[in-house]
Amino acid sequence: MTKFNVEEILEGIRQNDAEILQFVYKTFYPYVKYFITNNSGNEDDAQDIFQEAIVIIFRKLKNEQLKISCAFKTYLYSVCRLLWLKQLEKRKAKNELSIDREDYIDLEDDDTQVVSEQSERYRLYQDYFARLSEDCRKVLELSLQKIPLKKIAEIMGYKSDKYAKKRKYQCKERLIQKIKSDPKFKELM
Amino acid sequence: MKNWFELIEQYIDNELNAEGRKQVETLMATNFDFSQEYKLRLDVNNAIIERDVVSLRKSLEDIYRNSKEDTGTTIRKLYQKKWQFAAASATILILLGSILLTNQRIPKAENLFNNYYHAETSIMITRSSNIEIDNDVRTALQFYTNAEYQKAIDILLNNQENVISKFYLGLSFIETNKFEEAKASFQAVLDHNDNLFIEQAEWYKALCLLKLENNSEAIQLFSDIENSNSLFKDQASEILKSIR
Repeated sequence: MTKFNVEEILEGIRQNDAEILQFVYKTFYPYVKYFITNNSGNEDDAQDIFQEAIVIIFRKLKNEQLKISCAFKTYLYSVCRLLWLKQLEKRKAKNELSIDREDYIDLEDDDTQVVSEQSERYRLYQDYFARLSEDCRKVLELSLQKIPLKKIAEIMGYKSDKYAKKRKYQCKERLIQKIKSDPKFKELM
Repeated sequence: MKNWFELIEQYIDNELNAEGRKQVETLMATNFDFSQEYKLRLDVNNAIIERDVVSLRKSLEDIYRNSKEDTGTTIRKLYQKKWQFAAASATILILLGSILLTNQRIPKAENLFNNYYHAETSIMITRSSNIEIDNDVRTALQFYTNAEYQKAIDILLNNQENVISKFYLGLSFIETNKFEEAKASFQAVLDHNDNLFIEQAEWYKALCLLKLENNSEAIQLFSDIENSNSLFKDQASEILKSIR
């Protein structure tokens, strides 16, 4: 497998490049999995934390908040480590790590926490959005693209723009209620 | 609160006049709950249009799934000699059997349910002119459409003569996280055996089984769906691949 340097990896994550993501996964996931499965987690946890760490890196790249002055592996491991410690704290499990043998940098003071909290909230919202009916998803997407209600009614086959507006409100309300009724919502707010 | 909702949405959509906008901005500055509600609704909009992150997550999930499948292929390659493969297969079958017998947790059952369950649109919207339903059921379906599931349930429980009621009762139970009750409602649709909702009822019942961790029954029903001409055969097949 081709090796990539830090800049190439970051650019690949930014571009959602399949080859780079494959490389990142094959090269670094085993370390994360080893760390989490040896510190009270299972493989699902490891996969979840790994995915979340890559998403956080992506978000920071998007906001131009990311400057890495260490090896990519060290940075990724540090983000995963921070996320896992946070998760252990939430589960009220002991958060003393029994195995923690990789190099890491302290991210407590930088904005990784903030980005991670926003990411978790957005994930919850996106999960519930994906669970709406196709009709609702489409109406909301179209209205967020600022498509006029008359056009939305035409696309969706509704009888009037008034109904399109009503439907949009119904769908948004349904989504908000679903999100609010999830126990995770209170934790995240 | 309902007024807040409309007010905030109109503010976000830029539909308020100067006075209305001022009212919202004052509320945001002085009322914590109102400003939280505004933030939530704005965040939800931003999350919906955030396609790049959703697509990145999908790529990562695909890589993870493929790597799990590759692991399976590697195991098969390691046992290339026929007798060795047969022995290994037998071991795997015994292991699989014991998993089914003990009904252990399917990894990611919750994720699978979340990925594959999509709320059904009420026939009020899709097929209202074609199906005759009485007024009570029509009211219940309106409640269902408005996401007032408990109100829908209250009416549908007293109007179970027709299959439509039973089917939407099942869906309303899912929406209120009552999966045993939902399963029973879908079973009632299946028992009727002569209606337009059989494929959907089978599919939703299988998802309920997944959620309830009745894994052997869930696998059996997904296999039945996979081997039929159901609308959901491809999705059932994907779920079975993730489970196996």
